[in-house]
Amino acid sequence: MAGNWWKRVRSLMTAVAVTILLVLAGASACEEETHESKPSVEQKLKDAGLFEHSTHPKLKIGVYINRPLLGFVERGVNGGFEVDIARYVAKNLGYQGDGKIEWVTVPSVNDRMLYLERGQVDLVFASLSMIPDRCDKRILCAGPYLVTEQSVLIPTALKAKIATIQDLAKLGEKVCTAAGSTSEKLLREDRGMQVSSLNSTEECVAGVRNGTYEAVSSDRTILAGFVSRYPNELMVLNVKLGTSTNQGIERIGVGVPRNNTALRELVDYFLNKSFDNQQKGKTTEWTAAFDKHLSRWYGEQLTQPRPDNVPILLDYDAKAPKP
Amino acid sequence: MSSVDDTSSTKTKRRPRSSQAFWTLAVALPAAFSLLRLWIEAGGQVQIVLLLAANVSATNLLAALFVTGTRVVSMGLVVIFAVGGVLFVSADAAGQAGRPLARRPLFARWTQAAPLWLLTTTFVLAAATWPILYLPMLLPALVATFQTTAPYRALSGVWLPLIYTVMLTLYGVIIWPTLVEAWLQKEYFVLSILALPPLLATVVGGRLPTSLVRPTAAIVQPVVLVLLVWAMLPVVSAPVLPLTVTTVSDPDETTRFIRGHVIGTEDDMTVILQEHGSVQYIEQEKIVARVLCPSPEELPVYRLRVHKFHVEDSLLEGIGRRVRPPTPTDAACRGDQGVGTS
Repeated sequence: MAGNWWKRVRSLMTAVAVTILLVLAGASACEEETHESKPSVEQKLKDAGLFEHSTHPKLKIGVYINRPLLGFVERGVNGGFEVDIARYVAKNLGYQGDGKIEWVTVPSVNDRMLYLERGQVDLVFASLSMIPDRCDKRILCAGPYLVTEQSVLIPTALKAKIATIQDLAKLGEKVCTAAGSTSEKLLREDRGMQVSSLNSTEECVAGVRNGTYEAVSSDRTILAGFVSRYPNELMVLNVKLGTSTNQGIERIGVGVPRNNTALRELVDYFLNKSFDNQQKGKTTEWTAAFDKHLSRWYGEQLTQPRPDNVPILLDYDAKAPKP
Repeated sequence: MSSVDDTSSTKTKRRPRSSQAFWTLAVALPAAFSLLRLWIEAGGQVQIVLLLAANVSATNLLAALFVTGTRVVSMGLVVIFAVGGVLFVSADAAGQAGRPLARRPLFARWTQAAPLWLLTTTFVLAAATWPILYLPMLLPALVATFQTTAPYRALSGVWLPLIYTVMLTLYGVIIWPTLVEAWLQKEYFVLSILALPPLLATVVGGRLPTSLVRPTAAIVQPVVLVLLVWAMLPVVSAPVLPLTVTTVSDPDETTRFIRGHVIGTEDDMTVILQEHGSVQYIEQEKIVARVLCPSPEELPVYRLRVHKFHVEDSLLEGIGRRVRPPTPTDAACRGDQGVGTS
């Protein structure tokens, strides 16, 4: 009796198992067709309006052309750390080589935002500090791709006179900075200094060289560029400008038009890919660009920072082995 | 006595004909499939079919068919053998219970007729070529199929439970991190397909209730055959030639990016079947570069791995990726490049 009962239960178990397996097999056949996939890079390119090159033949990138080490033009070709990072991002977006990029010169600090707002450029790689007043309010920011600090440039001849923050504070309007820059905000609002503001850092440096001003405040990367141009004339002061409320740390990111979230995600995705490769110990375009342009003059070896908002996107290398 | 002799002589006479039919099918089916693939690849245009037929070698065609078709063919055989194994045992049990079937179900006869080497080869091919995600389904299929074979029946006493326990423990250790990750990503289908089949493997062997044997055979067999035909459709429509982007520099200093399949390369011309249909003949001297591009179908659906292998890779693909990691996607493969300025 017990044997018969067990045989019956056992055959029922087989029937249930076969049924479940057939249902699973059927579900497998439909699953790949119906599963909602994560967005892909290709989809984001379409959303960003960059998939069809017939309608968007060139990627318009706003860069500086007068920032030594960062963005300059040499023999008619754009160069510099930021330009090389822009080339890396453009290549991954499908715009490889200068034939596919339209370099748009950004004349001043304030123009970076205006150009993005007016749709004159697709991206801006021009020492754009990622601060709340800009990012998400007027434009979108991807990155950061560089983290640096606020610093001060002085004529080498004045190094005995200007050595500390107190010395700098005494200079007042003899300290120059670019209008609308984060340096201006740090010195005026956080340090309460009455500094002079000009359209660009280049004008301030020219003023220092002709004796109008005695110091320039800006990002350390920007100042290192001017030291590289006039190594016997200028030097970067080794002082910390940060306060308890403003550390003076500059997170430099990529400017993206406010209505193009897909493009912001793509830029963050590819910056993060470079960051990941760096973490794996690989030589990346970022490290190559830093070594080529900045490492000699910056004074220390920087590494690429992790971007803030990295999206989860599917790309063709998604199945590649993880380290 | 005479009837036995008659039967054996009939069998002897039939064998050569069966063998001929088998080899005819073995050669004709892949050839027919290859032609169908060419036809679809050509977008149904006769002139392009002829162009492809003239340039694509039979060896390449069969190799491409083998690469893309092995998975589907092994899947079909595994399903047939597994269902056949269960029906075979169930039909036997029904006969012993005094309710014999007029004839054993078709799949049961096929499974019974399949030699051990064919069953083994089918499962080995499936293990190598199926996506890792579906490999757990092989375990119950293995039990259902091999329960009709002598080696499985020889496993008596404590051996079978012992083997199940060891296998399930090992499987659990290997798969546990993926199960947790699938749970966190709310991928419940993956969770069930990784967890359930190995557990069901312990009870799938044996017979169905006698009353269910006939309806199961009547419903499942035709459904499986229809699904197999449906599963063959992607094989027919899979591309025969690799997808490339060819950079062409024209005399007016414009650069064109032609996305498509290279049909043939001669001394002075390269023939490309463009992705959107038309055929382009390009002078060799104008070609600046050519890169292989992945197709959107290669994008995975899940973000899950079993240790370092992606769940949608087969073991062969996974090992291949470790031997030769993929290079970054070339910029020319991103988007529809169109025409640019050099």
